[in-house]
Amino acid sequence: MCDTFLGIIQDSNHNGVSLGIMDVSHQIVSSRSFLIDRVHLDNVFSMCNKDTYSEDLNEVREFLETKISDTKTVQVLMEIPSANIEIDSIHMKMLCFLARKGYCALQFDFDKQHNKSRLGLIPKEIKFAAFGGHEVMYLQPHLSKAYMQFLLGSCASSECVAVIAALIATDRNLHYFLTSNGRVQSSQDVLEFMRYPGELGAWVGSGNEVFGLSTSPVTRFDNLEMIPLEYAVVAKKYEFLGTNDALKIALLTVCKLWRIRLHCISFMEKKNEQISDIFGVDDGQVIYDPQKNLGAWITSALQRAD
Amino acid sequence: MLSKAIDSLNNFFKTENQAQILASVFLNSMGGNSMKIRKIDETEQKEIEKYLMLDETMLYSLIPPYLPEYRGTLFTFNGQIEAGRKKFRAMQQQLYVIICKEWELCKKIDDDVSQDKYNLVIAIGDVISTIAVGIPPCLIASILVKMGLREFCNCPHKKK
Repeated sequence: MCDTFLGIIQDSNHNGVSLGIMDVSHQIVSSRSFLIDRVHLDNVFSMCNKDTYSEDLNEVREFLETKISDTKTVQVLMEIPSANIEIDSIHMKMLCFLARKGYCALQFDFDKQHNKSRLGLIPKEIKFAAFGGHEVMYLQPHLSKAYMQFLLGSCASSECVAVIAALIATDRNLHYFLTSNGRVQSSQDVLEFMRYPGELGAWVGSGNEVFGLSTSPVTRFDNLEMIPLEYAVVAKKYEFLGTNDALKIALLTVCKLWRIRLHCISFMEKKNEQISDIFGVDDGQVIYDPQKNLGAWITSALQRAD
Repeated sequence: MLSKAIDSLNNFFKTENQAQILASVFLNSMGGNSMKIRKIDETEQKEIEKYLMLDETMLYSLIPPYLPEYRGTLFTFNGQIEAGRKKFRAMQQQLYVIICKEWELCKKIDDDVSQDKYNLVIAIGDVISTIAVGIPPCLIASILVKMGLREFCNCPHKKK
């Protein structure tokens, strides 16, 4: 069971990382940025096997050790450009370091010829032989920042974005939503749902996920004809994320504007293996609820980090 | 001259906006080579600004929600765009006749006023309001502006 969440993003200058830590049980948020050097290929292999670190990683180590008491209760989320990353990249350096220190478990295959390592899910039979901790959650670059802009309306420091990455790690269904290869509801789907709540447009299955809409006591039913335009404007704004992810942010935004609840259920969760499991939606599958705000401890921490 | 026309028409229309549109269309059709732009309210202004943020493809996606034949229809994102594009193409010939032939866009396209896309959307929107039934005229006008009105009407390029 995790009660500490560590979000890692490449900082805005691309020469380091920003770390955000959310300690849920103590309601403490911490964040900091670090300059990280790229690592020579041979050093990557030695990092996996020995406890020797460069100066830049020692600073990271000290920060983490003061903020996290039990490495086994940490869930790491890292933004990475793809499942195939360069062996000598900052990402690989951080992952090897975190695994070696017990903050996460991970598996990767080296392709020395192409200077790439492929990150993968750990097969069950060797999971307990890994370094310990939970498997890393991965996220496409810039999604933490986009989600932050959706939540708070402004784009702030890299440290704030790293805290949002940690926040995403606290909600597995939100992570499924943001990483899904599926296509969410179109603006017409949302409009028809709002015209005929409970009849049309509520549920869309795509990829490994099912996305659902439901009304709440505060849902607005005015100006429905503006839903497609607001959806399109946001989709256009985030088109650099790729169509699928831009539409996710657009859907989140119209849900926020019209106060609609948004659900995500993934067939990647063992308990959702059967079609019948996706009915009887419970609150655990709500990824946006207009009646719930970020905790005051998170909001004030984000303002300080900004 | 526009405000006098609006005043005299106000008695015959339910809303001032309707009178403004008709006055604007009338004077533009009489005005020859110059374009008259009516005043719009803040809501319409914001709507046009948002239309102009979008590209042609995204603008097509906004059409199906206004069409009665698609009430109760669910779309994929691409399907919604295609349905909008199909509707626009069905209107294209009519739009050409009204804008290019009757309104003589080519004689107005080099007007200083028409160098502003925002003004173009308002003016074209008023001209096509009779055929854009159920669909916001400014939406159709925005698509035309994004496509390029000069190319749409095959106007000669401005001499340098």
